[in-house]
Amino acid sequence: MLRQPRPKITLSLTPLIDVVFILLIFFMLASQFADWRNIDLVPQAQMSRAESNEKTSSLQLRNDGSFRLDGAVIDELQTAIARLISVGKSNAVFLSPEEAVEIQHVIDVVEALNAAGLTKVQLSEAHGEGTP
Amino acid sequence: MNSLRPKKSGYKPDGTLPLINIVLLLVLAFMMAGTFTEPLPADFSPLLSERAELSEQKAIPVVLTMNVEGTISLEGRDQSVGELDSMLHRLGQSEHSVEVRADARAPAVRVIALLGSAERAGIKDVQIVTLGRK
Repeated sequence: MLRQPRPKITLSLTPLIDVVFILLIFFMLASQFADWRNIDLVPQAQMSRAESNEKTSSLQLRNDGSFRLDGAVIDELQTAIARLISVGKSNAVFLSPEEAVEIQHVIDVVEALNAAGLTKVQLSEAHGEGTP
Repeated sequence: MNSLRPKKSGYKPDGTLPLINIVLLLVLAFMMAGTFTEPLPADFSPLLSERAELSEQKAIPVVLTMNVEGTISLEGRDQSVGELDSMLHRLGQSEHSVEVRADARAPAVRVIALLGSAERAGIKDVQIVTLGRK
């Protein structure tokens, strides 16, 4: 009895390649690689407690780029920071921007204050006369 | 000499296998490194900062996006004042954290008002998030 030769089985890889490419395109389009970071702000409730116990300062960011620190108009941020440091680094600082101030400017000021050692910074909803 | 030659087995290595391997590795890299979040609007200019810390990997936050005019959207859909208030109250009753992704040119008073509303609604963890400066 002669044995029949086995038929040759060929495995086509084309469907696998198709699926893998579709997966690759899906992940490339749907994934995001943005590295989002938190801005370190003291929560409002904690700042309210600080307000009742400690001295606080109010730094208003004005539309023309100048500042108002506890009522006094200051042109340079560095001057305002120096005054805040002279009061004490552990004091709470409330930032209150005027209507036309962009959020990027506020974040830049928060970072400058943090870099100078003023870490208790909170954004204040009041934007009238610079009082928290 | 003939006995030293390997016998023909009929197997031909497939030239597409290395390609499949590389593409699979790329798929794995995209799966591991990327995150699935709501895509940002086309004209969105993200906030930038130098000293901000990397976000802790906690439960997936609810992401609110604010565009340059101060309009707030959730998952690509603009929210009216009423919708936003009810959504913040719902989130305040759950344990969700909220991330605010604001356009760098958005009015600061709007962003601060949103943070205030979220805190008043009882949301404990509300953060402004930024991208690192290059």
